Amino acid sequence: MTCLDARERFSELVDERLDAADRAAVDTHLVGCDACRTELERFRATVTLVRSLAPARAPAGFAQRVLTAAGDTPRVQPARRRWIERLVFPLPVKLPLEAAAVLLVGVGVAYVFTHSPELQQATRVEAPAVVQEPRSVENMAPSSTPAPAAPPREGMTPAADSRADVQAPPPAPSATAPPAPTETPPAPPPAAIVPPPAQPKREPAGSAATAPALRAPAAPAPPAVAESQMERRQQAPGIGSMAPDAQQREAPARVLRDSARAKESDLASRAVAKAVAPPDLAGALVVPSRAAADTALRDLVARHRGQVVATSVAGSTTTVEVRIPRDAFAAFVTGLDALGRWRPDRETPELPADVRVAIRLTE
Amino acid sequence: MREGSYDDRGLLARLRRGDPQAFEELVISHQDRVFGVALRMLGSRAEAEDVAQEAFLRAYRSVAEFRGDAKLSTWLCAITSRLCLNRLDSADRRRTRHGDELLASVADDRPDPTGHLEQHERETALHRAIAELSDDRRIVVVLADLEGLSYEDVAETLAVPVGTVRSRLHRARMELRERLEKFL
Repeated sequence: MTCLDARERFSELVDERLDAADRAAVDTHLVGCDACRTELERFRATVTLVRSLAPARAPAGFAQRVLTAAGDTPRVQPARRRWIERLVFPLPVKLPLEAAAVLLVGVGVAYVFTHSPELQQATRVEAPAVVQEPRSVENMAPSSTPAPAAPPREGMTPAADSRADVQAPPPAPSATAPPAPTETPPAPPPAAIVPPPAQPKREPAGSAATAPALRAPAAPAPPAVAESQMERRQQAPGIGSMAPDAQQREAPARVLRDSARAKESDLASRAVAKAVAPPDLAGALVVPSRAAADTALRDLVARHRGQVVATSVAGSTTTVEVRIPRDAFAAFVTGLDALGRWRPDRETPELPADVRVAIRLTE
Repeated sequence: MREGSYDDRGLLARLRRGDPQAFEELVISHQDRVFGVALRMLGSRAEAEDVAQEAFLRAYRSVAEFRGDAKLSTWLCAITSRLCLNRLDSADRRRTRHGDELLASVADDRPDPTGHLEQHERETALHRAIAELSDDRRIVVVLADLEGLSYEDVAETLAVPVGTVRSRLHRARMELRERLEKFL
């Protein structure tokens, strides 16, 4: 053990926090090093001197002044209790009002339902529509826009929308056809929204790091766009040109395609929500030079198996969002202290396996 | 080291129920620690009293949201530390290196030093040396060496890893050791 290594452990030695192995190593070094023994004694004396300072006392009357001020201060109830109290109290007023509101909503729904034949038909007809046999397709006039997955009207068949299905592949032999191969290809995984776990540890500065996140959401769109374009192109000549049994087999494919599209947009919106979710931890790092600190920070991230997620500049503050594995987080924060003054915004929550930290660099 | 002499969980339950006596107990039991942290950090009795009062009022307002997963004293220290560091960070605060102001403030607390000139000189130098530490190092020395918190409690108070506490405390002590060379 070198003198530097031994002296770095003086605080833990004085506070009796060294493990047995380190303690033995330091003791062995001290036996043979007069300079470190002398330094240790001065170090201990410093700590003793600091601890000998008389504790401060609150001024006379302080407690009373606080209690008086607290008497004028409203207290914050737990959120759930506040909601309950707002819903329920005062009882004689709130409960009748809320009962009346529930009754009114129920009456309104019933009225709308009984006076809306379309709604009634929808609830009656919707389930069998998927397997209904195509009829009189040749007599149906083409419409200018492709129908989405809407319930078929009376007298119409799902195959009336089969102008949307013309580009489907050759029909399968079974009446309950398997999903068509040209059904919308599965969406790129939502991970495409988040920059991939980059193999090169050094990220280019600025916008390049954000480019994958910005580009990725566009990826699922083209297949759906291309498909709707195909639908419109195929409209005019397509009607009536498919064999009835082929149209029948296309109906389930259309339903599956529509549900796949719905899943895509749900996945895309969930992925976007994930990308804009707040970081796990945020704080300010006050540095002598933002530019130098930005470079040093990226090195630090790379050394700790992390990844720079995004960078943004607003006025005199550069915000760098990074992702650090939990097991390297402690060492990472120690490294931040070496770059400047690290001030987290709040207490550290329970850390996930991958910690997202937003670091605001200021001079 | 000052320790609470009551059951934290029982007191917390009473605080949440709005028991006014519970809050009074909290203030009386922790006022010296909260004021002491503020005084050592800010160097002014007037500012320290402002911040200490604000810390208790914040605790009073938000006790219902305190999860109880830390000691009450740690929680109060966390509030106080944040208020002090925010005040020190504020752009319009004109800070001297407040050694002299701190000495004037703290000296009111102490008995008449007449006849103890050497001790007085040593304490003066100590106050000045602590005051001249950076904010991040000073708060760690105040919490660990002056208020007696463990590394883990300091880490929880400041929301930093224990390794950061260890590092900052060691740097602070090394700096103090150099400034106080002639008294060692």
